[in-house]
Amino acid sequence: MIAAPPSDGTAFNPLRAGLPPSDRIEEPCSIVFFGASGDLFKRMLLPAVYSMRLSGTLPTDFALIGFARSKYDDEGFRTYCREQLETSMPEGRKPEGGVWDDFAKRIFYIAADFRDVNDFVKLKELLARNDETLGTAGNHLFYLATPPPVFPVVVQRLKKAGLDRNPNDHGWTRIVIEKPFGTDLASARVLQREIDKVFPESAVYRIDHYLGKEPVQDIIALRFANTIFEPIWNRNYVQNVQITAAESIGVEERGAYYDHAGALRDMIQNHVINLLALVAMEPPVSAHADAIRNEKAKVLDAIAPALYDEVAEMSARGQYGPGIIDGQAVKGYRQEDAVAPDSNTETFAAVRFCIDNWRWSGVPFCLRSGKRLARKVSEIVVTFKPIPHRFYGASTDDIRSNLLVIKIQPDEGIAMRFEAKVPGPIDHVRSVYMDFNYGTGFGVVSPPAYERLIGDAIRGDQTLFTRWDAVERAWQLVTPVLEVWSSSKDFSFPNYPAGSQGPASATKLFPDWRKL
Amino acid sequence: MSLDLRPAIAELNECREREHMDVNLMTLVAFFEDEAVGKWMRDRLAALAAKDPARVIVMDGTQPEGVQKVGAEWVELGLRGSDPETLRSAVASLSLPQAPIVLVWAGLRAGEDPRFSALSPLAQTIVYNSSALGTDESGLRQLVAFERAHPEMVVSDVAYLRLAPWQESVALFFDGKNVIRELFDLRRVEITSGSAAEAYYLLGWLASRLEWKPCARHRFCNRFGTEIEFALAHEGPARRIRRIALHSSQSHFVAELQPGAPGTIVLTVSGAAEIPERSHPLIDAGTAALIERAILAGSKDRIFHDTLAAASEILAQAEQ
Repeated sequence: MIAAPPSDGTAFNPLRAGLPPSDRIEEPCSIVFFGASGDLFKRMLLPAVYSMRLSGTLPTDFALIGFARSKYDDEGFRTYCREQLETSMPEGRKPEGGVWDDFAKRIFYIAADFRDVNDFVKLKELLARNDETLGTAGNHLFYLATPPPVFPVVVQRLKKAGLDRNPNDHGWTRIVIEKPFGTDLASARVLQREIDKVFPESAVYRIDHYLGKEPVQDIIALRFANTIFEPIWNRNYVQNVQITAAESIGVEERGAYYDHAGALRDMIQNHVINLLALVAMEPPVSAHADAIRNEKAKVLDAIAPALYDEVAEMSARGQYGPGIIDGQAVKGYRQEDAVAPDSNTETFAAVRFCIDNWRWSGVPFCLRSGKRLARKVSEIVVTFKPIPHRFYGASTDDIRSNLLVIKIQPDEGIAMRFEAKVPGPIDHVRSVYMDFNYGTGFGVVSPPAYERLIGDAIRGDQTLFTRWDAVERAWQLVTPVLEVWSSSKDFSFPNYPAGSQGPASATKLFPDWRKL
Repeated sequence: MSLDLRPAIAELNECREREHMDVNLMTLVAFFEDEAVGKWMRDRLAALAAKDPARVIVMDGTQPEGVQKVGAEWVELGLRGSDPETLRSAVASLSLPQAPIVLVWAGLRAGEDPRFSALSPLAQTIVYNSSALGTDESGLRQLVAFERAHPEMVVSDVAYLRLAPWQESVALFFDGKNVIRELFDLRRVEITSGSAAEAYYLLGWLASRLEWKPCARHRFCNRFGTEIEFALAHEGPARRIRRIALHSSQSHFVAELQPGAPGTIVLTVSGAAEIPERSHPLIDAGTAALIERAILAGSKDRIFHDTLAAASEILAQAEQ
């Protein structure tokens, strides 16, 4: 029985039941972008939202509000958005026609001083007006795309203006916080304390765009939607796990930021440790966000932070000097703009963690990330143990361990290395690869991570966002290394040429890195 | 008649090795016996196979029996006048052993065609298109007849799958507790479309979800006895809905393609439930994507079968 008018005031819509799964997010909402005149909004967030509109995933009833220092009015900001989209969207997806017209009339702007609570009151009034006129139903997503020092200021002002929750008690309020979440353990805790005063954890979405990448999400599918991997996913079969996030570019225009951050803060503490958690976690009991996030937190808890005197043997750091990439001479890190000429900042970091639990005891997890390396590649490599008995005689020297490679970027897919007999009368065995690529396997280009993550935030799905306990634990894991490195100058810097495999100390830490 | 497929199989294997084709998700089998449909079908199959790697078996009912073309994971057979067993054994020989078979049927008949009956048990997914061959309701009637004869078969109809953005738009009108009562107070439905199948499906979907039964020509009755009038207008490009209007006693809900911008659906609500006009993009999935959706949906879609049953009742009432 489906077609009875609801008698209890509920809003069950029988036309929704059984509809083919729609990509469109049903819940209406307003998205407020703090820092809307900045680079992140222009390059990533605005194109992601408009692309969601074009592909029909954005709710029909929505509003986009820019909140930043630049002096625009609504119309001026609409023009700015259109100009940015003209540049960033590909042919066929430019802002035009009825879809753009409808999108544009839902764009608003508040020229604001982040410290002035009156500007937040203006925002509150605008949101209330949109809830009435555009049907955004009291659902408000606050997206902090500002420089990190402004995060606590915005959070405090939201509270002061009464924007931490809807006064009419309908709708939801959520906050998306860009990385970096703090610059060290202490500052992350300070920021978290400020957030705690205003928003419950269920309303906080700490974004790590790496987690929005399709192959990262596929780690869960690979492990838990197949029967063949999980039985061998443990210390009995796995020799080691290596996670690489290598870039061939340098610091570009980010020298001033990067010289205070370094590779460990910039990549390992967030992206790479998140990958480790997904690879090593126990099977969650469900696909619910907290079921997965509980397992991630548990496995990070099973890693003991290094003692200070252990740092030297569980880590390696490097800094690139001049070199050659793609046939072009490139300068060294210390010659980059806005970088100190005697900088001690690492542009390469590698760490080796041990997970002290039943599954992984004794299996090294080796993580590395760096700039100006030979090749841009992000991947997870699971190396299995060698065969227990070699019966092939003379050719057995060629037998190599099986590898499972989860390719994250630029290639996206999964490759498996195994041994096969070379055709012929003699028993020669050689390594071959079984290679699955998303491009050829499904023939589709993975959607940009930001589209997925913004959509998930509107839907209220926190699975791909990092919970505070995992953020805090990740900081705890890197803190001893950060402290030792910052208190001791590495006189070997620069210790690897641009375009190379990284410093020799990384090979000493772990000799079996896959070649970049 | 017998069809020697051994050279074609050898050539397929050779191409497969030469082109390093190592990922295949399915065998796509398509049957048609109309040249215009054949051209259109080949384009869609190529698009689909480019996205979801597949072996494609094109069964061309317009060409004399024989192998017409073999390429990389693509084989075309002429099957004019061939008997059902020839079709069945061709699919059995040419399909990939480890991949599911998807049958896309665009024959002139379905319900009583023994060739369709021979092929359909081989397929894990059967995709039909009620509006492939014409803009009237005859294709839909064929499907109704097949469903009656083979209720155990899982069939998806591209004409129905095409409606998703319109179903979504209509459902959107009635989200929210302030407006849901209007849904149970509807008195008239108007649909304008270029083909009959889509219009009947949209109407059948509403009728099945709201428990309306045809009770007179162009009239439904709901279970409280209230009459709901409907009108179908034939206008616009084939296989496309152009407009749907729903009228309750107090409000009017209209979803229609924006004039001059057919990629946009404009939603207007006037009367007691009035809200500002809204627009959203019509995500016109295209046949290749719809076939893909049918494949992914896999098991029997209850809403589709309820809708087909309701459409069948409306067609039966129209005959009286």
